[in-house]
Amino acid sequence: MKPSPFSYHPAASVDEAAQLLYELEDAKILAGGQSLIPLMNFRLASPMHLIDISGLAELSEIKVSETEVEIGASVTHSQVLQSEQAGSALPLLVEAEKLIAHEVIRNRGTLCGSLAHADPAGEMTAVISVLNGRVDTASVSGGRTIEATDLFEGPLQSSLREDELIVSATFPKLGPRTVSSFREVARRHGDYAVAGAVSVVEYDNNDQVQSARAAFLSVGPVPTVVSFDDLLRGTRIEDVGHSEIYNFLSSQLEPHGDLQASADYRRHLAAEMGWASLEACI
Amino acid sequence: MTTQSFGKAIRRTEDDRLIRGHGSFTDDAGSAGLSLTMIRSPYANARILSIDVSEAWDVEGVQAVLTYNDLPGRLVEPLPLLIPHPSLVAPRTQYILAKEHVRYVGEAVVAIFATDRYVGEDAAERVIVEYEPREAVVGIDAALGPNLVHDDVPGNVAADHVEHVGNVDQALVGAPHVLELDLDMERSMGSSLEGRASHATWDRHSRKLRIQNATQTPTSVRFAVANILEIPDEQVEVFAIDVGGGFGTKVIHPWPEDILTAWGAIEYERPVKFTEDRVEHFISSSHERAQRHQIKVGFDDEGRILGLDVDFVHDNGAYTPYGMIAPLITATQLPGPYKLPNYRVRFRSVYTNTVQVTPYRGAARPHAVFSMERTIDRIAAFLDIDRAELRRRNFIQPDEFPYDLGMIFQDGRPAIYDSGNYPELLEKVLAMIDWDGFPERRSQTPSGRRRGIGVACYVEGTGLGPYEGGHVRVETGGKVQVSTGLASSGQGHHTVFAQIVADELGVPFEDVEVVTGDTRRFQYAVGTFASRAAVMSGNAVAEAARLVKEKAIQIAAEALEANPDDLEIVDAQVQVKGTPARGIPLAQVAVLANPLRYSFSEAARAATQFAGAGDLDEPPIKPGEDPGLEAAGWYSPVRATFASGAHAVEVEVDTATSEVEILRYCVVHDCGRLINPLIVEGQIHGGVAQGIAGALYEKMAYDEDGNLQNASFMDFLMPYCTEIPEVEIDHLETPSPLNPLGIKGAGEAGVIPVSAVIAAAVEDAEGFQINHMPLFPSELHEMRLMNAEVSE
Ligand SMILES: Cc1cc2nc3c(=O)[nH]c(=O)nc-3n(C[C@H](O)[C@H](O)[C@H](O)COP(=O)(O)OP(=O)(O)OC[C@H]3O[C@@H](n4cnc5c(N)ncnc54)[C@H](O)[C@@H]3O)c2cc1C
Repeated sequence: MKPSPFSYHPAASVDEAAQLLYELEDAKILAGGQSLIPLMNFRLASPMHLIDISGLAELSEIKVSETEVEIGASVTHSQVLQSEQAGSALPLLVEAEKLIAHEVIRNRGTLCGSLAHADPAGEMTAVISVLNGRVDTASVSGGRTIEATDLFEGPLQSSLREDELIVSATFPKLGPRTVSSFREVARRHGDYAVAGAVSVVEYDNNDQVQSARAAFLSVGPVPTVVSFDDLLRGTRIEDVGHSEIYNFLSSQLEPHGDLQASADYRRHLAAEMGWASLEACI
Repeated sequence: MTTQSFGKAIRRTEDDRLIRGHGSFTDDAGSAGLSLTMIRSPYANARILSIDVSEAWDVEGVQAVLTYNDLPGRLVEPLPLLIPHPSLVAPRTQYILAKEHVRYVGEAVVAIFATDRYVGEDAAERVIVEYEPREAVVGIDAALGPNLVHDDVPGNVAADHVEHVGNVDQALVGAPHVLELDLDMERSMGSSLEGRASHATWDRHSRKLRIQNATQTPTSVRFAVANILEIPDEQVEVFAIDVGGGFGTKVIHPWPEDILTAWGAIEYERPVKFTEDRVEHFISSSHERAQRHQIKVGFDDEGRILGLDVDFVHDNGAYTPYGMIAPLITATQLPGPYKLPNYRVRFRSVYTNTVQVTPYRGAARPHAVFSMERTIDRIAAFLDIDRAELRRRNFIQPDEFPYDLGMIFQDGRPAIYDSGNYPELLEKVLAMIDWDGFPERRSQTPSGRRRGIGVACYVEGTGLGPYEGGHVRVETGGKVQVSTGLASSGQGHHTVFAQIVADELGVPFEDVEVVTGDTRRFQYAVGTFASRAAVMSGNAVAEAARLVKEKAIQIAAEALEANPDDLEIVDAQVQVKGTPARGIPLAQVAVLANPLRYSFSEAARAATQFAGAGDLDEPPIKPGEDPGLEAAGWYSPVRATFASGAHAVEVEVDTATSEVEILRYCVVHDCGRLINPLIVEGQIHGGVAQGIAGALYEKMAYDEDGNLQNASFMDFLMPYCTEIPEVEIDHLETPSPLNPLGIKGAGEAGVIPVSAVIAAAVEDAEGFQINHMPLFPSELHEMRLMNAEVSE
């Protein structure tokens, strides 16, 4: 459980990081290292160069505007959790962060790192998907914006090019008549969820559902977004009820089985979490 | 009066050092030497066709790359069979490096000596081993099938053993009711935080091989290394300073790496270290607990058991270095606290292409208790009698000790319970959990939850022989040095042995310093396992302290011109009873005990042969006496002493997620006289935590090709403290009549009945039978669906 030899490059700026990423063969960005280093220790990844962006001041900001929350690429999970600004602008961020790993891991792991890592079991992949957020990137050929819907291509596969790094992730704030909730089941405290759902429900002026959707984690190769609009628009969640939602979700989700959960159990659990997270939005 | 420390909840003296990171673990030793890296088999069952190591030699920093064919002398032999047994007709042990065959994923194939582990792993990637894989034998079904693990072991049967008391066949025929049960348990492992480790240094000037080893038994490492390397025992020194848990794995010496590090240190004249990593711990250290039991029980209308017939299969993995200890323990410990006039047990121990199975904390008792307690619960359900009441009706009664089971225990001696009070244990635990109030609590279960309660009892043979020893020496500075040969792997030996010696000798607890597991200090020992350290070494150091006390009183009597019978030792002073003014400090007695020629200090000056008057017609040391205020003491019991306990648990099961939540966990425990309640409770907490791990979180997930799919803490779900509930503990103290201190072992107890009691509680909550452990939410979900179908 020791990595193969590699060279370590602490980047002095985003430009330098982009330059190194472009120049060096087989290079990877190192943020908190909480996902990358274990992979390297198992020799499942053996990059020749690591470009460390964790110390970059220009990536360390949390910016809150009228409509959005923007998190820089060196901001750790713990910093998001502790940010009153982010917490009051978008409570869902904090609710999700609390479900991620343990404090020691959150102290190093970054929010943008978990998006780049593109683990469909990662809470932030679901949050950015359900909110239709985006990431901004940098590279020697210039930056671009990638919408959440285009960010995840498969398990541990994002649509980032090899010469490109995420500089920030942006999450739209929720409107005044919009409620959100996160529910998941993990085998142990802080583990990746066996299944989970994050729901966002927008109500009209009559307190009836205007639109509702949920993103599911750990049920597919990428975060799975399900819209409840056909089922719920113009009604109330409690009037539609558990069994209809449960059956609808069971027919929508096609999860895999693994050591912790058979495919059937995971489908059942995801549907239950979908219901529970909707119910919490009532 | 010196304050008595035996029985007090004294905080562990070890903790300050360990918590501050000042521990001395094997991996902390040395860094300038070589690191040993092993290449392990990726196949569960394969022939080795060829090994090409040539490219690995070219990696900078590589000292040597060895395969079986490079091994010298006795290193080519299979590792020793540590504990033979008549039933073990086909014992097999592995080679230090695989010879022609590999029989489990993880078996050592190539050894690389390199400047560090990084270089070692780089070199390992360049070794090409060609295998010819064969069908792997994984699990008990496969073991009973046609494929073989060892070509010369037909049916994969290592051992076939039967023992009986009374006449079971007759009892079952005559019984008003007979029930049959199929019960099984899966594999787990101890998962000590520190893996196996050894650091060997060869001092060519003094011709000593010095080995720090993460072991529960340094003397075993010493004799094994001396033997296999064919050097005198005298040249091998083994010590375990701090060991980060063992749970049984660190008893099974020699491991291949113990020998290779020692051999390499001499061969290359450089220190060699091996530190097992977590993946290696999963795939090359011992596992335990896979067993399948078929049970037939006959009983009368009152639920009294008339006959019990148990036939079980034990999966021993690919090799049997530790003999049949585990299944033999299941066989003899299965009756627990119950009277079984007619009991027959048969087991077959079978080979599979998986990691070897050797005792892990609890040592095959969890299966025994699971089998017995599930049987009792099933009878209770059948007769509709309260589960607690059914236990009462079958208990061995307090006036029936010593109680002879009529069987042979794992130490080769008759299994005779020495003392206990099982009815009181049960009543206490029932009161603690408020058993009678449960129906009321159940009626208030929140929606979306189901509530259940369970109770389980066990008896545990502890304090096995053959012997342990201890040495006590009073220094002239006043410190009392204690050493014993067995090692500590977190049990708190430094604290409890100091308590015992302080009381026996009459000195303050703070003056006693304990060293364990260092063959330079104490050469004779067996080891720390089988809940034996307190009983064995505890009684041995007590004996040593008594001998020192006698000697001190003898010497002081002369100096004080008093009758020895009139003297006592109080607060480290030998004095005339009740007269502190007429006494001399123990440190001074230590001075008197050692006549010197040279004076280097105040104390030494007082001890020179010219200091005292003395009898000039007598030699300074009289015939039959030894210099120094010291003594060695020994303890060797006729047989094991039997501890016992009862656990009760109340659970809630989630109707949506099938997760099991433990609401209350209660333990009443009887390990005889308590030396230190704090340490006993710590042992129970740890044991219960491991029990919960085995019941609800852990298993070794082998696929059909013999790959362990969860060989990391990411996938092998060792619970965190967040998953472990508060454990409520009460004690009963039934002294053992077998040893002077009246104590019984406590190290393993906590883990033993946990699977049984949790199965009982979940069964109670769900209303269908739980016959298989561990129990994961996914499986409980499937069971619910199946049972719903059946009842529809
Ligand atoms: C025991 C444990 C439990 C965990 N549990 C959870 C959990 O429950 N939920 C959860 O979501 N996560 C969990 N994690 C993962 C944790 O959240 C990681 O911190 C996170 O996934 C990755 O962030 P990082 O900063 O550590 O990234 P790193 O490990 O540094 O990098 C991960 C990958 O992303 C790439 N990368 C990182 N930053 C960028 C960037 N700015 N631009 C381009 N590429 C980049 C790296 O090159 C690498 O490929 C757990 C981790 C551990 C060790």
